Amino acid sequence: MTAAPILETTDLRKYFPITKGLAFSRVRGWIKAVDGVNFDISPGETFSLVGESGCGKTTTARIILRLEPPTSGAVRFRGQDIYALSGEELKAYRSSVQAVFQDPWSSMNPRMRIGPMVAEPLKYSSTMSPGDMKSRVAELLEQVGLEPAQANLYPHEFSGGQRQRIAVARALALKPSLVVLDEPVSALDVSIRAQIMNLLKDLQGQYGLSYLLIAHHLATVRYMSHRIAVMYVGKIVEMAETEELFSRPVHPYTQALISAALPARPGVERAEIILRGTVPSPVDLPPGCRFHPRCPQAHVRCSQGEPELREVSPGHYVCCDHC
Amino acid sequence: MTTKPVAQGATPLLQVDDLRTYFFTRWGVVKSVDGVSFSVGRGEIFGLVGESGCGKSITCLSLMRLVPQPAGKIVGGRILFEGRDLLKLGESEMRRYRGRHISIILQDPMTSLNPVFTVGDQIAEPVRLHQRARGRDLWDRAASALRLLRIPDPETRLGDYPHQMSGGMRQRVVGAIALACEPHVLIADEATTALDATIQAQYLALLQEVHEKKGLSIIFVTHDFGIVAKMCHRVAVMYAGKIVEMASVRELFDHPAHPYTVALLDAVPPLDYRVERLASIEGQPPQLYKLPSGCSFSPRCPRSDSLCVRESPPQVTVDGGHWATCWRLVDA
Repeated sequence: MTAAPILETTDLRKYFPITKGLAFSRVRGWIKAVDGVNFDISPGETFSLVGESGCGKTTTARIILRLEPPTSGAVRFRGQDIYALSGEELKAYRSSVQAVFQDPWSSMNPRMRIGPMVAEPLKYSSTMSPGDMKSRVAELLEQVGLEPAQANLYPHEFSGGQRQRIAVARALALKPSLVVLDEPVSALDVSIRAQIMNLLKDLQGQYGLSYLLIAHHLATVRYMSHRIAVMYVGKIVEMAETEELFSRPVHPYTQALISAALPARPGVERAEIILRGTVPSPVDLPPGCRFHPRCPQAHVRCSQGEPELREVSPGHYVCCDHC
Repeated sequence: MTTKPVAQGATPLLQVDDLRTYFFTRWGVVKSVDGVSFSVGRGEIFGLVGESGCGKSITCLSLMRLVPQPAGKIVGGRILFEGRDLLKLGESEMRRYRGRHISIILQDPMTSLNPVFTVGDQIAEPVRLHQRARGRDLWDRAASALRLLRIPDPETRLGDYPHQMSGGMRQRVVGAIALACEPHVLIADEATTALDATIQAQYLALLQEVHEKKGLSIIFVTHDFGIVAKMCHRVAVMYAGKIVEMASVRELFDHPAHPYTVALLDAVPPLDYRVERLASIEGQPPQLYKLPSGCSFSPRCPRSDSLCVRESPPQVTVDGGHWATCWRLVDA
């Protein structure tokens, strides 16, 4: 990574309290949703967080969107701590970081027409005249492959794929430099997914956007990303460039995740690593390495010290002391 | 899973002929399943793939005769199970088949389990109804169903409520209910879609094991070609209420003949190698109450011409058990 990162997180943590009692509730424990996450995103790069449900990838995205303050740690956008921003600076941050969410049904107001919906960010963050706004909306809809005339329709008049296009148009309205894509295609049909993924790639090429992609589907992540971090119960266990990660996965969890992915065609032989048990609860984590109870290569020592992320080859980081 | 034994009996266990299930709505007649025919042999794993709204789930519900009433109706066809037409049975006779001979696992284990009954009660119910087991025997059989699905410590888990279990465990309970009476056919309707990748791998390995141990026939209904590639022997691709292509799994992946199948396979990103750009299918699946004339896929098809728009395509045999309904087959 030569260019200065556009976004950087340092030791990001988010603990949610578990409380007991109503009026004078006291904290019984903590859900460690995100537990010390470090990564950076370069301009024009797609960086992906991949992992199973409950691994903290969405919470990380919410912290970056300033929707959820972290318990500790910092997020720096172009060198500035985003939780220290206020006033105009915060407004500028909000317009340069946008999001596209998973479900194009629940992320839209059903009583709002598409035109005003796409124009809404413009209304709050710029001083455009109504005429300019209208032509900007038309331009945005064209960019995502819709007709400008469709601005007068309501969300229910569109299919899932088209709605996701609208969500992308809305995210691009303020010409952001970073877009958080939280499972952008997993709610869509197979034949539509490729359309949206290609659209996102094209837009990235055109505008030099950076993407933070949150996904659980490995093949999608491989197709979309430049760099990937694999998360397991609140921590990054492995981080590398896409090709490096898929050709030389080092962490036993990454290996298991890749082996669990379904083959693209019959007869593709993959090392079959079936993990035992389930993901531990982020409330009471096992001692030492959080993966060791399920790890096929676990040593006795794995239950003692918690491993740190270390560089095994240039740009390839692994959080495991024994591989 | 290197070998996939295909047990082809003389007569198929389940044969579906020209099944038609229509929904009568205020927008018109929705032909969800429109002339679907296929058969499933003893010990065979059959895949039914398609996008949402293509009629694959309604096909399954039709097999169980659980189509939502009163809007939905099976208007034609035959479903022969061991030679008997299930569509001719009375409701009480049909009840003897459900869960006993044909079982179903649905996508979401949270909605297919009853939250106010223990897991044990729910697994015991089909055994009590179909096999009249009682008391200790009933409980033992419920426990052995849980054991079959590899739930640790089954005797204690029988007393648990669904909310005390994780998603993967719940889906195993649903599997245990479906398999408690040792049915011949299991329909898995997107049974692993809601599960995480590593949990899905566990579940598929389990079903494979039960299939091998008990000679169970399975119908996998899915949108995911990965599941088909990993699990199935034969596969049918559905589009807009019709089967557009049927072949053995190898044949379908190696020589897809229908332009829709070809496009769909190309639109799935591979995990094992790098692609620069995916081919995508333009447009979206049609609304089933206003289907285009001729071939339903013609508006999205790169090969369509005036003939495709005008007339419904014929069923063309490609090779042995491999056929596709298309005017302009892709040369394999």
